[in-house]
Amino acid sequence: MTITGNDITAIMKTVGIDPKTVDALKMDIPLVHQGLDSIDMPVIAVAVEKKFGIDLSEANATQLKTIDDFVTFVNKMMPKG
Amino acid sequence: MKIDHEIPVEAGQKFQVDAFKEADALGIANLFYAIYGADYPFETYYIPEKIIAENRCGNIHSVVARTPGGDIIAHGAIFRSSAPYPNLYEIGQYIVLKNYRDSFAAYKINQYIAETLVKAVNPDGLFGEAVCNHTTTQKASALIGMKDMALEVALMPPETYQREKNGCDRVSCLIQFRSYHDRPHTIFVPPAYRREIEFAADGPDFTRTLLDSIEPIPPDISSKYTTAFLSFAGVVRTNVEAAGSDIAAIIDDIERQASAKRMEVLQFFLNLAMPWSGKVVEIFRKKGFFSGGYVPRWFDTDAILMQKNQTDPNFESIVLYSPSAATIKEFVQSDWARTQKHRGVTPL
Repeated sequence: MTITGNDITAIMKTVGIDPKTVDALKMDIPLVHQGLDSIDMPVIAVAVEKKFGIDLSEANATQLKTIDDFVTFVNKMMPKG
Repeated sequence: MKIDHEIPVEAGQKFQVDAFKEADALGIANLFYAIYGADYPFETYYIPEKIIAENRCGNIHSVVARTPGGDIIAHGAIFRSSAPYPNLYEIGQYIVLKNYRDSFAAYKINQYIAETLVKAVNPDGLFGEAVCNHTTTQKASALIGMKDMALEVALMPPETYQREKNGCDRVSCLIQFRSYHDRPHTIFVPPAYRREIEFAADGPDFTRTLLDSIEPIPPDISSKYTTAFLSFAGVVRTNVEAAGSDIAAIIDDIERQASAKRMEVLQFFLNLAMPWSGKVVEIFRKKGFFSGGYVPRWFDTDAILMQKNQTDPNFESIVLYSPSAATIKEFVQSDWARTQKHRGVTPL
């Protein structure tokens, strides 16, 4: 199974990020440059961790700046098959 | 001994979020100095011995992000502040070293307070005063279940945030509240603010009986109140546990003192357990005060905040994160506009 950017944006909507903001997000631009802030980022990271059952250490999580970063990281970490 | 210089902390260290230990006190003081220089208005946070003493006696319950070597890179706390009821704690004092701003330290401290610390301290409620020049703090509070209650208009001077380069106008604060152990009781609702109180008190967190407050102020009761002049903020904050027939004269006296001390903001928290709270509120309204909203458990019983600003506030500068906070702002701004009509000024 692989995920896409839509999986990440769907998670964002479930954790209270304004849907209008989410719908306008570009995949390759840092989220903090698109209206998200320092509270949104850990909330998203924790939700992604729970949804996909992956271990997102703080060191990894703080490197995830864009939706594309999340997609690449999750696809790399998720069990294959 | 008061900290008067910054001890550098190496960037990029791992850290663990934990409850306060006495060995953390020096690191906390260093953290406050690193962020605020010598300008933070509460001296306690510069003096490790005082940090320890306040944590020992339960006035402050600090939570820290601690590196393996014992450096403190972030802090948050629940603490007793302006509320007369000692089991209502304020949440705040969040600061993070600049080198660690992109870590999740503040978020983790927030979660630790909500999930671990409150079980140990067992407060009846928490309230926060989230600044409204950005929404980060408001959202952080909402994440741990705090509800929007009231708006303190133009509360803090911009200088408070100058080092952070955020401030221009005085900064308003959104009062948010979370109940842990409710105390069902009757509150006497000033008719002028029934809509505002019903809006804020709605929901499963509160069991209240709302009665219209129509009784006259008893002629034989003297007011019971305490006043604090918060010079660093230019705020005079008065808690009126009971208002008697002398309340008008007391307001006038405090306004005179505030003017002499060049205070910018007057706040009165009025106890809604008084059956005559409606008449008391009317006195405040006639003197140009407007409501900030409903504040649960302030006296153990609930309160309403009445406020007045010496300078017209800039409501446009208030940034809010939620529809309910925006509704509270509409209530407050509308009531402020009423005071302007009394002054013969057309509000913008």
